Amino acid sequence: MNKLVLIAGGSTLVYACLAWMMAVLPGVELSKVPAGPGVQPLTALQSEGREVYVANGCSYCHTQQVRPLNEDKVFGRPSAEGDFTYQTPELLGSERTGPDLTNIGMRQPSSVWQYIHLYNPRAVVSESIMPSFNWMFDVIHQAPAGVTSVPLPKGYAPAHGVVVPSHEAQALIAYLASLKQPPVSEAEAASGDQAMADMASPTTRTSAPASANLAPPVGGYDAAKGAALFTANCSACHQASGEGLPGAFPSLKGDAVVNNDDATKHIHVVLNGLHDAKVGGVVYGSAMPPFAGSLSDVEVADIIDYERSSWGNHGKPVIAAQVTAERGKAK
Amino acid sequence: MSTVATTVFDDGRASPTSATAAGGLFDRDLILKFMAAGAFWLVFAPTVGAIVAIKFNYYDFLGHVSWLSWGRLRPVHVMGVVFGGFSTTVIGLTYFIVPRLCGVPMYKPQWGYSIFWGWNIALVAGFVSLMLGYNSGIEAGEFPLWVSIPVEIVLCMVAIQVLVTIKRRTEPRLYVSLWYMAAAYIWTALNYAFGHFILPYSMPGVNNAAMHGLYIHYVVGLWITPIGLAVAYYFLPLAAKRPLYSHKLSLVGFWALAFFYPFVGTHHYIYSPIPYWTQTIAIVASMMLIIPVWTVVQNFYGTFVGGWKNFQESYAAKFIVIGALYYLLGCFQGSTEALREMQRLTHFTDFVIGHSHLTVFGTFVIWATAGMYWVTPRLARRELYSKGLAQWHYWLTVAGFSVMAGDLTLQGMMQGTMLQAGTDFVESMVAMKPYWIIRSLAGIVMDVGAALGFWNLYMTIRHGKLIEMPAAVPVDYLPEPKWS
Ligand code: HEC
Ligand code: HEC
Repeated sequence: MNKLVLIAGGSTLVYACLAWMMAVLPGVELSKVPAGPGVQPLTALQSEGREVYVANGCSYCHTQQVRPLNEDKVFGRPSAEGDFTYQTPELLGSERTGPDLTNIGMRQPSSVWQYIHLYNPRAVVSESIMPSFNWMFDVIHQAPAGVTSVPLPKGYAPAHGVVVPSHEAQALIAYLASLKQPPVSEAEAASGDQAMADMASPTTRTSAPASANLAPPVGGYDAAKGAALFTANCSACHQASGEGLPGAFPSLKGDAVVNNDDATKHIHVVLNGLHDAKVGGVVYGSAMPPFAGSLSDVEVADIIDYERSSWGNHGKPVIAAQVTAERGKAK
Repeated sequence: MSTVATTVFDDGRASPTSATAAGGLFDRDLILKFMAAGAFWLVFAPTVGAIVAIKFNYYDFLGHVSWLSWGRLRPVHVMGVVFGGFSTTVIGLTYFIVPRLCGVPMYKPQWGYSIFWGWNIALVAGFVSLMLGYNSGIEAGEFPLWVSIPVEIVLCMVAIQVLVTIKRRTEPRLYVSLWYMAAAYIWTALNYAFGHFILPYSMPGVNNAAMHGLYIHYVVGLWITPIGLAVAYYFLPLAAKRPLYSHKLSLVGFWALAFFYPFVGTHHYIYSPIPYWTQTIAIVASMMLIIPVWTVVQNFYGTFVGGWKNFQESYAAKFIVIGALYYLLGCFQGSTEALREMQRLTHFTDFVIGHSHLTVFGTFVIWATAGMYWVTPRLARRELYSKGLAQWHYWLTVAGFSVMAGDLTLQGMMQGTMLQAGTDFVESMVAMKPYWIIRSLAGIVMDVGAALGFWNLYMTIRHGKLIEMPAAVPVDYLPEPKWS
């Protein structure tokens, strides 16, 4: 009998005390953290989308936490406590079969891209292994007024009819669009860097890959970097072949702006984005996002030069100073 | 016969009451029902696993219908192995082990059948709910409320049965299996409620993640591990036909487990915004887990040393020994994985999936399987239906599983290295494709092994050769079938 009390009572006591220490204490500490600046609760539609996200297991393949590590920089700034204030249950996730989505609303703001990708990821990322979620769409004879159909490329579109997103898909994409990291204050950013310095050991920090903000090679265009930057920022829409997706994203192959020796417009589009314009005689329903906020002048020049010298294009190369000048004009 | 029952105790003292209790100590029919259900889930859940694995390379395989999509089936696989296959089997074994070690029948034995049906119907409802998209969002705690409530009731009922039976026992000694079982049921009745009734609905933010880390590791550390160890510690001396190497050592292991496990949960969130000091404690505790693991491995191999002949002749023994080997590997892997540098490399990759398979399947499901091999023919009072099928089960499991664990570990380190070197994400994903094919093939090999093995046990119950019984059969008589 006494032994039973020892085992049952003792082990439960140990459990309770330690759980207190490991969960309740940090919990108290964490619950004092206010929402970060700019962190908003979700709207009704967005939280519905979050439920769709949970129900369909997106979080088994996608994390929503950016670690203060070099290799995570592509996904955004390191996550802070205040980012998560309105989230129950948490979706930090445990595995990255696909990329982190903390900042996907910023990285891929085009809902047209999101719809195509959700319908069949291979339509925009040919190597993707992400499952297709095409049952979240309806195939109907003709899109009703006010609803735009998803401009699927040939080979992915159904043989007859047009594809429109269901309410479920619309809520999900609204949720994805809400996933944007608000910038942190200067002080917090500094402490984030400090945390990074603390966490990454000196050896790995110095051996970490040359990141994009290292000094550029002088005197022109770094082809490898241009290609890598194009892959990371542009090929999701314009595709690695530069040919885009008919009806959704324009081809840059043989494109007038890309081949024009006066690069002003080209630079302007990459910095500021483009919408409702006519490209090659077509008006695209989707928009081109601006990159002024995420790419440096040197990076923009590298990408532009890559576009101007690839896929048979022969536009005159640009230099970073031209980008700087164009950026200055916007102000 | 009674020599087998008595070798459980390290001092070789007989359990005085076990053979004489009127009306029998345990319910053969109930336990066999549990074994059959457990075997069914142990084929079902890994098959779902193979389907989700195949979908990595063949995206359209069973695609295009919501309820067969990857994201819906993935929790069915994980919950199916943990709560379906593993838990059903060990709850059944509880009804065998506890009365035998206590010398009295289970408290309220009539509850057993309600528990059996309640539990299995709840599981079916759980898997259907998940496939319909009712997911609470807490990984490893996904069952929605209408499934969790009956599951929680069952856990509490078994906990009460176990505790009251231990209290009423006539056997003065408490063998280590009872320690583990009593603790596992209490801990889990609490933890399950925490993970399913509180976490999905309250405590927003990183707080929720800190708690989730705790919950998810408690499922492993305070349910799967202790209940699995209870089973293994019980059947080890029986299968080896030798007394346990050291009962004291096993108790050291028990307290080390109770003490270190509550700390380790946060190691799922290293580099997250959870306070840095809790992360550090979690890492240290994860290293300390080497202690309970070492006590188990030393005890298990210590028991077998000098008695390998019995190892040759019992599939229960074979599964226990191979499980102990995977336990050592898996826990060593888990401890190092918690270190910051290692975590940086491997976290978010398939390395982690490799670790969970090595521990949950490689160790604990395999030990539960060992228990099944020991119990089924004895309770059915029949010879094992086919030695050949058992042999296939064993070797396909070992071969398939070793390849899978190695493959996942390797590919995780590879992808981690690529990403650290700045490789584009999609490019690193493309590099994983061949490894995913190997993983699927290895998984299918394991599934085929399991299907053959559990078919074998089912056929044993149905058509195994009847063992000749003595003239006056005591109620609890257990024959000595070959190979189990
Ligand atoms: C089986 C794992 C898996 C599941 C489940 C999954 N994804 Fe993905 N996802 C991927 C992979 C791999 C990629 C990278 C390749 C690509 O872009 O298609 C990706 C890419 C993405 C991207 C583009 C990210 C970027 O940085 O360009 C978005 C957005 C996305 N997924 C959203 C979702 C949503 C929403 C769900 C749930 C409805 C989901 N995913 C479910 C694996 C998955
Ligand atoms: C979200 C998808 C998307 C991404 C990502 C994207 N674009 Fe675009 N881009 C478009 C769309 C859509 C248009 C056409 C807009 C219109 O016609 O209103 C366009 C137009 C352009 C044009 C103008 C073509 C013309 O003739 O006017 C250029 C140049 C261009 N993109 C370059 C880039 C570069 C460089 C990047 C990467 C830094 C990039 N795009 C990333 C969608 C995208």
